[in-house]
Amino acid sequence: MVIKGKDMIIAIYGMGLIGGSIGRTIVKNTGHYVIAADIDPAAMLKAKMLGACHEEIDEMNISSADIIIIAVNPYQTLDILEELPTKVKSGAVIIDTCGIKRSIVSKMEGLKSIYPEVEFLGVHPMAGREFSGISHSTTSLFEKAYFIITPVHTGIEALVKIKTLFKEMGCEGVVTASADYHDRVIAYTSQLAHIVSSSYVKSPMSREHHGFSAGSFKDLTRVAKLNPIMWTQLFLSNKDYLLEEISQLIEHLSEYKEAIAEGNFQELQKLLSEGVIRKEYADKLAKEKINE
Amino acid sequence: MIIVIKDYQEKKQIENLMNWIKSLGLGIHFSQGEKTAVIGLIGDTSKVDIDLVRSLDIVESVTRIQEPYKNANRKFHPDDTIIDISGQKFGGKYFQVIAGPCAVESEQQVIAIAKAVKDAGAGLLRGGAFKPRTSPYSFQGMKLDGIEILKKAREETGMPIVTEIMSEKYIEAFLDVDVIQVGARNMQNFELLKELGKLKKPILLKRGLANTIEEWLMSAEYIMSGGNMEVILCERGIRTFETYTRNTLDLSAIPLVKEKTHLPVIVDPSHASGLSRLVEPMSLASIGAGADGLMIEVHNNPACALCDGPQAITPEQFLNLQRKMDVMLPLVNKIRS
Repeated sequence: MVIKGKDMIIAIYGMGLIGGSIGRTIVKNTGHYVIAADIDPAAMLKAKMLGACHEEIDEMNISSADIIIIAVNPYQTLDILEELPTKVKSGAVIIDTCGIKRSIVSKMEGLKSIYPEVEFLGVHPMAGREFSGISHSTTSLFEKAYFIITPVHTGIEALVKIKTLFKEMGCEGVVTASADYHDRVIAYTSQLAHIVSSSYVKSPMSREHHGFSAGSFKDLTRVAKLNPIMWTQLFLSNKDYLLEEISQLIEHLSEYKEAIAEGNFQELQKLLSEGVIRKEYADKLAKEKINE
Repeated sequence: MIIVIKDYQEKKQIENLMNWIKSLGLGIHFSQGEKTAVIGLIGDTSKVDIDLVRSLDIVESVTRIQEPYKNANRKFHPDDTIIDISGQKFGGKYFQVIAGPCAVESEQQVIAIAKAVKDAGAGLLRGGAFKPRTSPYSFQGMKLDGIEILKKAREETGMPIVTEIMSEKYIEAFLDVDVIQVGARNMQNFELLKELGKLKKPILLKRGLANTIEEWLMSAEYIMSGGNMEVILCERGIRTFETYTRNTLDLSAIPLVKEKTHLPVIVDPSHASGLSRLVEPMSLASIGAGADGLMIEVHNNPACALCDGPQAITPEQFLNLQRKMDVMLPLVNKIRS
């Protein structure tokens, strides 16, 4: 293998949708050397065919990796994290790609205190598709996407390395947040949305939707096609904040239920108008943030 | 740009950050205060990713600095700078007095004045060996002989000596002087300032005759950017339309400058007004304005002085003034060094 001056060795654990897309994007856009691993040999085969990596990870090459990306489910991420620090070199940067951060960051903080020469960083790429597996990976998954980072006493050089890599992958920008804030917000913006979608599609009427919907059904059920294993892990890793959101939603649903049951025209119209105002306000705030 | 570091024990992390900043080709001014530390960046700071730096857990805040002066900027160095010359201190809670004749005229004259002002409370001795006279026919100073006389006075009295340099070609002769003065007319002699920046010796930088506070601080910046951080500023009056006084003493500059810079600021009331009878009221006013010290011209026989006689006060007048000053110092929380 020929590694030029500034090029790095990047290791990716997990050749699924995310890991596969990361590998393919890096190989396509940069000169970095990618080594990868997956517990499924079929996935590894596909990874090599699709150009998601140059070589498989082994005990030797992992010790030369500059950046290690863990792209597996939350519980497995914690397992891999536990084993990594002794295998990588001093100054190596270990990142995850999980949709929740507190449990990951907590693990990373524990490891950092034992292995201070290793760099850790929590990452959540705000990109994805409702399909799983490397067959659905693309080289443009991260175009214009944002990455959220949750630092774990991370040094400036490591932060710069990671941000530069993300930019090479086409990302729009990096947002810093605390693990706690991340999980609080994601409970609503991502997790609750998936629960709502998954619940909504369970009505027997979903079978009859064809010809009777102009987009609402499609919009609302898009993410019902999720990966059950991963999302179960995500929800249980964010139990407290997610339950808060579900409780609030149940309350709001009950308000609609009551108003309709009572035939209360005023109340129902009021509830709906409030919804319009909230949506417009949320959109306005988002626009302001973009313009900042 | 300044990066405020939280009161963190993580010396290694701070070191890593500074090394990274240096790798970008930027200069660093590090200031450790009581509670926080400030890293001041000097150079093209557009290369710095502010968002990433803010993500570091040792970083409290990152702010861009508008002012063109960095090393001299109080934002880079929040605490007062205290300059110690053989135990005589300038800055902070200390009040310092430099006194002596305008020009060195003879060994006997200088030693007599030195003893008198020292007894009255002055900490350093001034004396001009190289004089910046408007007329080429006026007494130009005893030059190198003058410096030798000042050194003798230092031997006799133990007082550190302050004297003006006119050109960088004399720097070697000034290496044994305790404080090198840059006169008002040389405040923007940038080549001279650059050379003085290479020394490790306190520089007394007078404000130019018609220069703004920002220009004055940029001249200090010239010296400091060369590596010499010990600059004492001196307000000596600025040119206005008023003709009763030689210059107009800009007292408002004192609190303003102390806001903007951490360097000590003293006042020369003698050159400012040009009138000996104004030296006392202007000295007392300077204390009230928050000055860190005074530089006063004292001559045993002002009528016969070879230079600036009208603004000199006698040793006796100087002593009386010191006594009045001692009453005022506690009011502004200052003590004699």
